[in-house]
Amino acid sequence: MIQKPFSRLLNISYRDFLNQNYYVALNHHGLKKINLKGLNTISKANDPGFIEIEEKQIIQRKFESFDLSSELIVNEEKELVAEIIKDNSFYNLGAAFSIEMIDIVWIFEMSSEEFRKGLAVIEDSLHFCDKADSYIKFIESTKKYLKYLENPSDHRLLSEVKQGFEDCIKEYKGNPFTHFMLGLIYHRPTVYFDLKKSLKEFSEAKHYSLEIENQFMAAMCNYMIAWFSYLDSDIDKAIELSLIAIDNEFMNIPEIYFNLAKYYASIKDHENSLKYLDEVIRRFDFLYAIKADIDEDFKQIGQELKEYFIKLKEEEKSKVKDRLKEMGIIFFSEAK
Amino acid sequence: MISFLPYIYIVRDKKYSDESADLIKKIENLTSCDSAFGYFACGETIHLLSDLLKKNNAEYSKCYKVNFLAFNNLKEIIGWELIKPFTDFESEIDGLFKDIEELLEEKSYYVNSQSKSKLLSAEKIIQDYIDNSHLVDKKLRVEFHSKLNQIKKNLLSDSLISVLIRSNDLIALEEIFTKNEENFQKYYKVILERFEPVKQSFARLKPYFSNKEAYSIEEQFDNVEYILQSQDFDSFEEAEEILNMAEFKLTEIVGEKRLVISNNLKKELNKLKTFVWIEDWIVLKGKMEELIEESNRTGHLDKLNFDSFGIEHKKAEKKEMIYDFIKTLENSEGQLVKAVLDELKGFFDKEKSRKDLEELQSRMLMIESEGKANGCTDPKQYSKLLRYLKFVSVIVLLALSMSAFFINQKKNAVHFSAKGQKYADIVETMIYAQKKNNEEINIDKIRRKISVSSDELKIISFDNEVVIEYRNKIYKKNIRKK
Repeated sequence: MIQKPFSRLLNISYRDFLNQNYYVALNHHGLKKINLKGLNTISKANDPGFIEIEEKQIIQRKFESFDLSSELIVNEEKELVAEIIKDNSFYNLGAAFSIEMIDIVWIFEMSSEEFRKGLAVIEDSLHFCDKADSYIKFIESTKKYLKYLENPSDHRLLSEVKQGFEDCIKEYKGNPFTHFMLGLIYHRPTVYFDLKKSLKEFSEAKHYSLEIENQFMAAMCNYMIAWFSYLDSDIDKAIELSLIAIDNEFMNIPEIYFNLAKYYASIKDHENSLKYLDEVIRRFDFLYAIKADIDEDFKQIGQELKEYFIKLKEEEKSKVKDRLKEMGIIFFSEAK
Repeated sequence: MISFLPYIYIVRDKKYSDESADLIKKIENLTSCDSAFGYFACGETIHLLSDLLKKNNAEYSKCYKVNFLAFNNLKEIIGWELIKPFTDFESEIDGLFKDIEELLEEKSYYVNSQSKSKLLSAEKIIQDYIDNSHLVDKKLRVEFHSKLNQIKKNLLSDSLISVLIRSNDLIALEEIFTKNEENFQKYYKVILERFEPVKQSFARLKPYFSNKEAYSIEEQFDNVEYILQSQDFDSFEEAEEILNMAEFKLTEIVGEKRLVISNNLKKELNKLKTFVWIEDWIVLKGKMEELIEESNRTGHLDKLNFDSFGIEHKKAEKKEMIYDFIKTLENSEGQLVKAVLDELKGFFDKEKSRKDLEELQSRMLMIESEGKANGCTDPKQYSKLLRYLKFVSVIVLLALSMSAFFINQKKNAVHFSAKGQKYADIVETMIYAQKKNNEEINIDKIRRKISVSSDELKIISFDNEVVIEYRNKIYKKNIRKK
């Protein structure tokens, strides 16, 4: 489901936002959002100081709850979006991705080709320095982390996982994946939540990714660091890092493009914002248009966004007409 | 509102039509709100529709269009109204046409495709009818049957007028028939009778033609074929001209080829003069001239060669006879043998007949008997001559086996090259094994394991790569890292 992304303009802290949006990993490579009752239980288990969230505090995020630009989508079509998203596979979340899903998505992604190559380099290096045990520990900790993500109430397991990754770093600090995992743990809304520590770990991960020339990993680190820069109101840095990520990563992570458009929108640079939004819509998933329409940052360029939707609509309409005409079918007002 | 372009949207089959309508409806619904989302969202459905229509178009073409066009073509060949009472041919074809029409009218590609076999039957029946009736020309054929239709209609009425008209119609029908028969004999039959043999002759001679020449003639044949199918006597004259041209071209090219081949044969035969007995050569020459003459007469080139002449056998026969004679010299007197051998040398580079050899033999026998009568008994001279005799025999044998030697030499080169590389691989493997086991490299031990003599195989170096010399050729192989 497409949900309103976090924005600095929302009347909520980032930590509280994360607390309201818990996901659990499903063992068949899927994920599920936790309801209010569930997230109170989970948050309590992970942070003794947690104060229960009440229904009225919950920020509305479902796109259906918002009035969307009529040039983009009309109310009757909202149900269709749900159907389209249902058809998307997990690896192709597209616009349905949200930052609080990052650790689950990341662990599932680790079975991808890009990751296997990167991990193989680390495995070889550790074997070479007689530190094969460290690699085994990293893999075991990652598996345990996935187990925790399937049952996030098990805080003891999270502590064990965190300790495991920390031990790995003590033994060998050059494994970017370990730093990345630790960065994710610090990003989770638990007792360990610490954005500074998280940023430090992602920065370390980036450093070591570049050392082993894993561009995909480096791009992911830049994506995360850019997000932290945005949270810290350093939009210029967020833009700079996102641009580097796009440059390095050969255009496979749509979120990098969307966030870049969002960062530009937040500083009212509509030209650049629409340039990257257009790219993510056309190249990856047209539902990003809906995501942008409900994002607070894009409201900064509301008029231009509306004009863009009109232009987009006319273009797509024309494409549909042409394609049908090629098949001998004439629609709309042309048919007389 | 939707409209369809009938020349692009060609959905006949009900199954495709329903599926397509569903998808179009879906697209219509998705785009009905005129929102950007709607247009984006229908992308997948458009893709499905496009795939469906592609599949439909392929089946439409294969099952319907091809058969529909073939049917129209057949109907055009008939070209007159099929009315009762039918002739045998009309009765048969009318039944088939009705079946085909029904099959093609169905909104099912599967049913449409079943018209194929009926079309083939109809095509055969029509062709048989044309062949038998000689009504090759479409215009005359239609004219003939239209007139026949008139007669059929008149048959229904029994008035005086109809009888009178009928007799005129019959005369007209007869005139058409006669005209057709004349034209058929004059144009069609003549061409048909000439065309097949020319084509066959070309097919036989094609290997002697260059691609360009063959293409040019085939092109002419295609033109003739096309005209023959045009069902128009007027254009058959043109076919005759083309056929004349093609035949002329064929004869011209064949003539040139024959000249080249004949000249080559003559040259080859001249070279044979010293290799076979001259009387055999004369026979071969006669045979060759016969072949050339036959080829001139028949136009065939495929038999214009020495394949049936048994030349190798004749060459061997001359050599064997000379060799047998040399063998008989072993016990003869030295001076005489030398003289005979000198003369025998001429048998290999001059034209000689069997008679020449017989004369030499009898001359020798005569001299020998005279010599024995004079008592020539010097053993030294005899042994010297015997050695000379053996030497000459060896030379002859060498000449005989020269060609075989060269062929073997070539085969050996390939064989020994592979073997040399194999030895380099073996040596490298053994060195690698010693290195891997941290042993000191013992090259003598390795050399001992290879049974080839040291004259044939030498290990030259083995630092980073193995270098060996085998049968005076160097072979190398990089040694693997430990």
